[in-house]
Amino acid sequence: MLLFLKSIPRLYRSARKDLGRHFPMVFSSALSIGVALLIAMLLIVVAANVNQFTNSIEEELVIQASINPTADEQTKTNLYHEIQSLDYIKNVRYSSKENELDQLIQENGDIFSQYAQEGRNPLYDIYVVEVTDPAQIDQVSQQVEELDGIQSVNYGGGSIQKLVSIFQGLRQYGSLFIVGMILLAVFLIRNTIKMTIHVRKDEIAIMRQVGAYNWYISTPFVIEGMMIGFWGALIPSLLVGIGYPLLYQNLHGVFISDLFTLVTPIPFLFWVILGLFALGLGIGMIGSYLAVRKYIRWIR
Amino acid sequence: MIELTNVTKAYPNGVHALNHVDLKIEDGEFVYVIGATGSGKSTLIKLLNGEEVADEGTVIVNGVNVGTLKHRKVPAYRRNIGCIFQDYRLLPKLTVQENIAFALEVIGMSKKAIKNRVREILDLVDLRDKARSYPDELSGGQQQRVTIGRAIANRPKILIADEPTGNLDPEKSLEIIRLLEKINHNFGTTIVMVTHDKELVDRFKKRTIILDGGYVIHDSNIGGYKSL
Repeated sequence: MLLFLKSIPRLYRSARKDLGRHFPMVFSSALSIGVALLIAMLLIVVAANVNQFTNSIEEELVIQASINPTADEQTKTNLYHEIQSLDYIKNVRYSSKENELDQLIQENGDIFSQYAQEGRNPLYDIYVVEVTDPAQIDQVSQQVEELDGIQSVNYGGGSIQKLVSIFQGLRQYGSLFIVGMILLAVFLIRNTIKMTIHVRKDEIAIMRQVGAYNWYISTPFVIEGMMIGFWGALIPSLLVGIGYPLLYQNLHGVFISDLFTLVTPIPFLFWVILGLFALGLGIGMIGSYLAVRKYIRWIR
Repeated sequence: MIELTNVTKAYPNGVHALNHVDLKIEDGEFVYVIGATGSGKSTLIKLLNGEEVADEGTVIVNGVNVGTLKHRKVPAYRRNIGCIFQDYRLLPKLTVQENIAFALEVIGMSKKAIKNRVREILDLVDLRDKARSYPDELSGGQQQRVTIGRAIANRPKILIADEPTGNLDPEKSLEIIRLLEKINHNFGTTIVMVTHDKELVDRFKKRTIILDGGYVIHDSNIGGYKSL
């Protein structure tokens, strides 16, 4: 162990020297890791932001339960209690159709004022239902809809679910693609290191002859693989490190509307970049380990 | 001490490289091993430095049974055996002093100790003025002296020389054999030298072992081809 620690600077220098010896191969391996990590990085950034969007939308999510116009006051009171007794109910609020129309006029302009006259209001009296867990909103709205005296329910679930399913698809196929790219990167590193081992076969033979331990011979190659991984991680890290804060600044932290707030760069970027480097080093280590295990097998 | 008892080694292609060889080489001896191509000389060297394992019999070197040595123990064992070859096997991108230092770096010696030891070795092989030269800037004899320097850098008890003069003219061969004698005499290093060089064997008389078809057919302390 002591010998290993003492040898680290020497092993590192040996790895660094090798990197320069066959730069084109090293460059293409680093580039392939860079591309894999770049896509991973984009997916992570999009994923984090879409998560944030869906969370903020879900927080705003309420069920609007329209009450059958024929329902009398007693039915409405009963409905109120029935809704309140359901699971995941946070709050139930009554809003008359006049109130709803006022809000409509306020939000969308005077054009709706024509409906304000007696008998012309097409809206329903409603119960505005807030739930404790946004994930249960679909189930709760179904239960509310089945209650007697409820005409219909609406919670805008369709569009949210569409967004979530698009994102899930993106995540699934994106992850598959990343796995493919990572495997390719591992393979390329393995081949680069295999070539390095071949170039240094005389040196390895002499090392064996003068009594070098196997770890002494193989460690520089693993370090070399990790250095290639490090360089690969540097490209997407720089891009996200510079690009995301710029994007955040230019969009003032929101995307299209205030509902879609972007994830603040710090500490988000710190974790993304840390992850990229960990992944790059990991790929480099595995690729080179595979080469070393096969081509510097212990022979007498 | 090197002791081979009833050693037989055959290769998968059916070639019997060594047949029932019994051999004993004492500490500090200087021994020639001679024989035609395919007589088993290379196999003998491979058995001694742990590259091959005998099919039958035992190979004991410095009290270690080489055949039963675990893989992970082989590197430590090799540190007690220096090897030099006909084709030198120097690293072309390293200078003379770096080539010698290489053998010491590998075993984890400190920088300071390496520096001192390399200086001693350069003096011994008389290449101090070539310390910063690269192998391709040296003559064959000088390159072989670097190889010898690298082989003895960590003070092995045994030095195996596989046709060290094979690529050299008589004058340079003389230099090499004198250097090996010096190492043998000054440090008590056992030297096993495989050679074809009849002139050298006749001129520097040592114990001579002759292999033929995997058998030891001659082992004499008188030395010299002419005495055979």
